[in-house]
Amino acid sequence: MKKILFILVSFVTAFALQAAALPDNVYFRAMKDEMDRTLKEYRIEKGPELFYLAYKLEFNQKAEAGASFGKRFPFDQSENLRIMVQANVGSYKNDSLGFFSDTRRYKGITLASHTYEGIRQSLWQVSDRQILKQQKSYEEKQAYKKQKQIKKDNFYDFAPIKPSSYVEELTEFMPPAQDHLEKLAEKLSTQGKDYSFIENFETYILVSKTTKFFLNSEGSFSQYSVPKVMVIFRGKVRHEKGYVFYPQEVISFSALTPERETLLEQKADEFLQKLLVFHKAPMAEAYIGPVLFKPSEAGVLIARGLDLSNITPFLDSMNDTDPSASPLRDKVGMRIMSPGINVYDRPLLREYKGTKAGFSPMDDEGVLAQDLLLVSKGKLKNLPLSRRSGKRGKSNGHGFAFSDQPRENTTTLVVEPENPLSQKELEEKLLARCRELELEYCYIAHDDSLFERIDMKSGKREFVLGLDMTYSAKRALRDILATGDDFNLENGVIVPSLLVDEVELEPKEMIPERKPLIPRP
Amino acid sequence: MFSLPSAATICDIQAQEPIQLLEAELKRGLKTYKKQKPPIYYLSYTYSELLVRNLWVYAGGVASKSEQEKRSLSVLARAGNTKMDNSRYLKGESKKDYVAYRSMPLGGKAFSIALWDATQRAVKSAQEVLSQVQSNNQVASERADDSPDFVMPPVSVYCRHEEYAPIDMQKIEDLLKEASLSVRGNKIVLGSSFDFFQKQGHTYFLDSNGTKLKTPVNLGRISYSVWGEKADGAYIERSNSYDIISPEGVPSLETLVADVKKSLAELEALFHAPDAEPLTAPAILKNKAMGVFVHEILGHRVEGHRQKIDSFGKTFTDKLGQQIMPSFLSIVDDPTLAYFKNIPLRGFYEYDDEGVKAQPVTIVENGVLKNFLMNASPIKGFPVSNGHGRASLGNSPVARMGVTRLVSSQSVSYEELEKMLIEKVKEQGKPYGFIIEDLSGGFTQTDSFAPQTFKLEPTLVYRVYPDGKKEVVRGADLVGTPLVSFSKILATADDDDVFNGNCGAESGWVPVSAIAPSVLLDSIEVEKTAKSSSKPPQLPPPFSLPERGNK
Repeated sequence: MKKILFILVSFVTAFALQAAALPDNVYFRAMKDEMDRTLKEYRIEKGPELFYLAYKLEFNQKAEAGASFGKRFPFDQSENLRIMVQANVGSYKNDSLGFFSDTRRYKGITLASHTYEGIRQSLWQVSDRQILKQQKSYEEKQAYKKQKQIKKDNFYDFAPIKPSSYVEELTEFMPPAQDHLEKLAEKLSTQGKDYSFIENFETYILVSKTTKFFLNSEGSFSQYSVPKVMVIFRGKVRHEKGYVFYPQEVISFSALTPERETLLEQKADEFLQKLLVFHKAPMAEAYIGPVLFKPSEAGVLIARGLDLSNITPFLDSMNDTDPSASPLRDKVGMRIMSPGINVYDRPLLREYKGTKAGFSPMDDEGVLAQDLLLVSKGKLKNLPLSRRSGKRGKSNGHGFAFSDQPRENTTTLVVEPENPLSQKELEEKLLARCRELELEYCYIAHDDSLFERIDMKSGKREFVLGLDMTYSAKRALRDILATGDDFNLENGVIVPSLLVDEVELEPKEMIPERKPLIPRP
Repeated sequence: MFSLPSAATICDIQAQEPIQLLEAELKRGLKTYKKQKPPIYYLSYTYSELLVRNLWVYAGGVASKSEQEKRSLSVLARAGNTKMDNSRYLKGESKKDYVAYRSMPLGGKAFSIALWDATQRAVKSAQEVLSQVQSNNQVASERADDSPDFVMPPVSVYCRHEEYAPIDMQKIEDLLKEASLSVRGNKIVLGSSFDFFQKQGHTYFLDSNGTKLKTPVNLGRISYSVWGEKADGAYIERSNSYDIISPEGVPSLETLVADVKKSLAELEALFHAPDAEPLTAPAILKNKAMGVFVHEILGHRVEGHRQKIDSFGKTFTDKLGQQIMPSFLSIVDDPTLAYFKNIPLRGFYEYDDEGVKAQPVTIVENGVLKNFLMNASPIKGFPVSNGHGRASLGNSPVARMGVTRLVSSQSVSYEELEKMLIEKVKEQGKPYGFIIEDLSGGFTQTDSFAPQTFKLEPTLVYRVYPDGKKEVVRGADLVGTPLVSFSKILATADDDDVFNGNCGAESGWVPVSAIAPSVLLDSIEVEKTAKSSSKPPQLPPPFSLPERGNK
């Protein structure tokens, strides 16, 4: 626990540098000048006023190497500048957003030429369409409210805020040399050659950097970069009984270092061992009982069960209620997880144990993102809020998704149990529970639908295949019996192993495929 | 006309590593594949190694650029026998034959494993699709043309390697950036795009019949377009392109800027032009537009494999030996033509995508329909391929055009042709005639359930009045039917020119060329173009006023 907190604090202090002056570069000059012109000159005749405008630029640079069985694929290197515009018409009290109409398909994104002139031209083109879309949306929203007799309340549609800023120095994108990346990809993929049951084994290394620039008409702005290294192992294995599996593993870092390259070799070897399991492991039968979720699967469980996206329902011309709104939005104060578990949202976390986290220092509504205690001792304590959250409270910097309409969402969830158990203790607890239920086997869930089965009589452990997990994620969160101390960042969640009291495992309907007509070369 | 580029050399096909690897894998499995039930009776590999460059520039800067080596493989398997195989079009259903496609690692064992993997997929799919063909054959009505599904192509062995003079990408980028600034200050232009695309490398082909080929691929193009929109939703656009196969072909900045300025003047004329009114009147189709016209209206209808598809309109299937256009006109498709008037032809190739040597095919001779373009899918009276089986990687080849040329035996000067147009307008008592300067594309209905009509979308049309006055009009579409349209050709000019483009059909996108002179049509029907419901931006472009300057 102490270890986690130390890492969190160190990143926040290292990077959260505030700056008051608009950065002097081509991106902000173009955004500022075009925004000033639009706000000054754009007039909507007999219609609602344009009162808010926000621009976001994303400069994406990437280099990608790949290889199969020790031989490289073509190298790919590219860059582009994406431009996004968000407009709002009407007023803070009564605006054009928060409403789904048939115009929702237009996302307000385009690619721009990398010059002052090119950026302004793209901003101009996209802004015009966005403003038109919002004009239409505003009229439709008013008509909808009238038709449904929705009364005015005292809350803002879009709460005004004081401007803020977050600025980091820009740095150049310096990916490793092409030859180095290609050789590394070849090295990582070369081992599969010796296993004839592996029909395909590919490794991809994607090194990228996204630099984000944000400016809104209220004076908020941000500038920061998100570097990322993603390594993907992809395999195709034929099981002895003819079933074909396509396992995949994705590892993400914020940077490639010599130590991590060594670690990747180890990961490649582990992946090959996993392919061996897919080749030989027995097919399992149905099961109902406790399951120990390893961090990779625990991350999926938490992300599904603790769905705190879209807290404020939008008015929806297609549906009576907004089906995308979070089912947890009205459960503050209620117990939604087992007691003794706390969950935080950490938008300022850049990475955890080398794995890239969802760093978002400022949200897409110009609000500095804040750390949140979401779940305290199993009870829902706080919600991620945006400027549209109205009766639920003031924004805490969690309005994300610029390309459409920003809505409440979380960034990196951090699960912090009060009494984490060691791996040994956790497994003992699992086995004790299985004994109590007089079960023949006990199960541990790994990634890629791979399960470790423990024979309760002999204690024999083996991997088994062909099972699907069926459970209600919301229910499972309340059925967590114990947690481990093997924290990992998985699926956007820093989470340890979780022991869930009851999960159903069902055999998959699988059809064996015909064996290749000739053996692999 | 055909000449090999100077840097090209004839090479030893057996010394080529990809051919060695493809051949080894083919030999390793062929015996087994042939013994299967149903047997795989034919297998082909198409492997390409290309350097692909893309650059998109506007407003003086780069919007996106990429440079990638691509190594791609297509595996085509045929199950059954030549009489009936998995390539057959199913009656009442879409075509289901399958080509395995994948990106390839660089040589060695990894290459062989990837090849083996793709082959297994192709073989499996061919056998599965054949069973669908067999069931469809049981339940569907009799075929009008029961020709075999495939004819074995003759065995060819050919190897040509080409060393390409490197193109200076920085120079191209600087050229496009500078040229893109010439649009600045124009109040009508709502958007512009300056692009460079290049694909260079070699394609290797090997089949179970013994054919082994290595041929160069060299395509490059600089293009630009400028566009605008009127308050009533009318969209206007002008564009231009330059095909480049060597650094010498890159246009100078002066040439490019002069052309852009001409396009801007045309765009401005279109902006202020009146809307076209529906009318049938005499018209000149200018050379490049006529090239597109021949390609779209006649070319696709004489692609051989279509003649035995029962859902195809078959406008020309039974017209062999009949007069289908004036006797002074002939049409030849000659993919062996590499240049025309020093312009590189995109439709040039040496061997088609079924390994058959390219050859000129006279489609129409003195107005009489003589031939269809054939791939290795025979039709009644045409039992073999004439080297027109084409496909992009990942698709199975069908009959396609290469370099389609309209040839006239009696030409006049273009000035004379315009005089003839005015005479025709007067003779028919029409208020004006048309000159169709440029076409952007269009569509033509070829399915039998729909009327055999076409609609073409000109981007620049002039009205020509009886007194010789010319006036640009916008929003004019050309409509008609193929048989009537070709019979209306009265005369041709001596100004043959090239349209280079890309043609999309069921076998993917392939580069094509069309060469034609300007022609005078006795009449053509013009109708109004649909307008957009969106309105142009409320604010002018940020740089429509030059004094706003640059930062």
